[in-house]
Amino acid sequence: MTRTFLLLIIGFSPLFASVAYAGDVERAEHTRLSEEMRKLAQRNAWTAVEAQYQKLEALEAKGEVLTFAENKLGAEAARAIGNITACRQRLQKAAKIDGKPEIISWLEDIDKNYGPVKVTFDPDFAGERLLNPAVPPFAPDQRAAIGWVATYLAEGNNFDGILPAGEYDVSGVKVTVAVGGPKAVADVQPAAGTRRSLVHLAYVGPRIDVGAVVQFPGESFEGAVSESGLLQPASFGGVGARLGVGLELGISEGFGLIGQVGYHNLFGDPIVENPDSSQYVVEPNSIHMGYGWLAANVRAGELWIAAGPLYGVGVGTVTGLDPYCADSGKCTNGGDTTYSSVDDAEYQRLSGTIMAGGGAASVSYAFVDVGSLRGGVSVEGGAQTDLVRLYPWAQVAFTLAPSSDGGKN
Amino acid sequence: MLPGLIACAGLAGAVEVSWVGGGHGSNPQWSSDGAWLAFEVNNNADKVDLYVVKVANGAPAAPTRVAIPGSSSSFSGGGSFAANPVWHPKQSILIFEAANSGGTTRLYYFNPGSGSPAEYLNAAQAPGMLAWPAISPDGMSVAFTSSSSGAGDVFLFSQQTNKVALAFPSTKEPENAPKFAPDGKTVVFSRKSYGTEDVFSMLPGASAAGPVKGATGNGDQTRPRVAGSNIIYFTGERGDDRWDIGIVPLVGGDRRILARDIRLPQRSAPNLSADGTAVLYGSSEPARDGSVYICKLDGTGITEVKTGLSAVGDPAMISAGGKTFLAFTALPAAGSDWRQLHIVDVTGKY
Repeated sequence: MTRTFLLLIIGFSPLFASVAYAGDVERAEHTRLSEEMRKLAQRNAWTAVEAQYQKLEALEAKGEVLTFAENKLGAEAARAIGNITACRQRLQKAAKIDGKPEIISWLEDIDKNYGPVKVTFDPDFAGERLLNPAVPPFAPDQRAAIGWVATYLAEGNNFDGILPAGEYDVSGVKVTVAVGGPKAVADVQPAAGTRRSLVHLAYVGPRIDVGAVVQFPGESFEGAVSESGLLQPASFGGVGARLGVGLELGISEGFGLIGQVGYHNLFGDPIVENPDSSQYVVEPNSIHMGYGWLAANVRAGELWIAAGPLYGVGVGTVTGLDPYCADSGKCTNGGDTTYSSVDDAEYQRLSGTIMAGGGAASVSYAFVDVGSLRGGVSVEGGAQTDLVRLYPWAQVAFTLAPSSDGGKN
Repeated sequence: MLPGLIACAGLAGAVEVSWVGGGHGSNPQWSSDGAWLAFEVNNNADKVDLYVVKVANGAPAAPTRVAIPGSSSSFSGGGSFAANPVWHPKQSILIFEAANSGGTTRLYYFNPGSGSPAEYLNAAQAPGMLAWPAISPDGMSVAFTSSSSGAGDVFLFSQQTNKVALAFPSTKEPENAPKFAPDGKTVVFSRKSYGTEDVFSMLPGASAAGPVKGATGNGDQTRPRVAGSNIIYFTGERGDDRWDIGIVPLVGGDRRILARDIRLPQRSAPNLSADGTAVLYGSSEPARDGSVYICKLDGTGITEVKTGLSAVGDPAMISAGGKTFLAFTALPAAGSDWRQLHIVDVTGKY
């Protein structure tokens, strides 16, 4: 079983995030990018500085450690192009390295002048997506911030972030952004009579879960075998792989529905005490099962929790006879044949179909963008029953699912 | 005819503003609320630094150097430049011109006590070398010069539209030192032509800027500022690097000389008293250079504020919280030192 598990781990290893260790190549690139960024900053080439900083962030993900000066320069670049949310994040990183008064006061200045706002456009809105302040601010960072968000909205996105405090007109919707909140909300609706459809999904996309699984079908329920009188295997267990592919529909950014079909297998060594290899070849247990899963998915930021009913159909081959059959000698194969021998019960090999229903739940932490999708690590578990026994299982998986905002933010 | 000397105020308790690294202080400019003072420091090391200092009831805190992005000590050495601070008329924020070593001079915005300076107008909005910022009295427009359209033209930035436009048609002569009149629409400036510099104005509704009659002619007439219905400016019409302060009506007319042999400030236009009725200056005459002079624009008299120092210059005044403070630069009365910045309470003394 151990060997099988290792093979599974190796087989799935590309799916697991690589551990970050920076090497000489990354360090050299870090130095080059940093120098380039400084030179560009001296020329006020802020868009280029921003691009360099994003490359540094990619190196940071590989284990490189950015300096105070680099994060501060990144904040200045973000401020220059108007991305104040990114500016604030970089200032916080700089402050963690060195909490200089200039950085702290800068953060305070942002918090004193900006407020939270959420701007959404109904998908049926067909007008021009505009953001105009009632009184444009004097400070260039605030003007740039408004310009950046205005462009972002005009490109078809919704916005959830911060803007300079003040009154705004969002395509005809008045909204007042206040320092410290509450979050201002501008929900732009289509003009009367122009709505095209009744329901819009917040997101839609594929939901894929793939990973390693352990399963330990238990002993048969008490009386279940004796009442049916059919041959049943003893309890067994093993490890395997589980792959589910389906669709996730976002009713809102915080709630979605999952429909998934998949394949689940199990391989395990039978439990035979004192095996007599001279007479018997003990072959491994196996299950191959297809399944369907329907689930409701609640999303709280990067934490996703899904649960719902599960049904699987498959085939299994197991070595070892259920204790009742072994002891009573009264089990049949569904016909007239009664298997009464008990001496070699643990070597008996049974094959058959499995049809089992139950439920499954999944807890995921999303941490990476994969194109327009979000990737994360999931811990899943479930249990099914064929009314003879329970088939509990647990899985560690890599999950791909659509972003909560449909990839717009 | 020059106004006669009618008052003399003794001065006690001037406070010196100290900064690290030495250098000559110059061009102090008060924020509108009197809580901040911006000034330049030139330490003769191929760079000019800009400092701001918080001032509470006339007492300065430790000044802070205003470092533009890319100019911090770890990134660059000499050759950087940050000067010409102009405060917003309603908020404690300023814009100034600056350049990194070998870089292009641009306008920067700075909110003292919060963060680092940011470029005020990006290159897409206002390309070229930018200088001489001025903010309109309502704070909604900024005038400046740019090299993008020729030898140096005056541009206007509208905060309302977020757009930059030429203030008037471009000329082949360089223009400098624009200032708004109190109406927020009229702009006065100087234009260099044939080796001299004259005062011009761009009046509302006019299609082009025109010379201000009385503020043109021999020598340089430069750095004009509108005071009431008049323009005051520095004039070097007597030559030999001798500078006077002239005054003419905004619409042009007879020129009067308010003060002779003044110490020409490094960069600023003539500074006014807190109530706007008088012009401040220091004298270039050795026998008179230990005082700040406050000269009424209507010619009714001059108040001399003795400092006990020498080579007094760059006077700037503010009234805030019921008090009036005067900032100026000066050399020590004896010995040699850098030109230091001083602040003194002159409440009720002029």
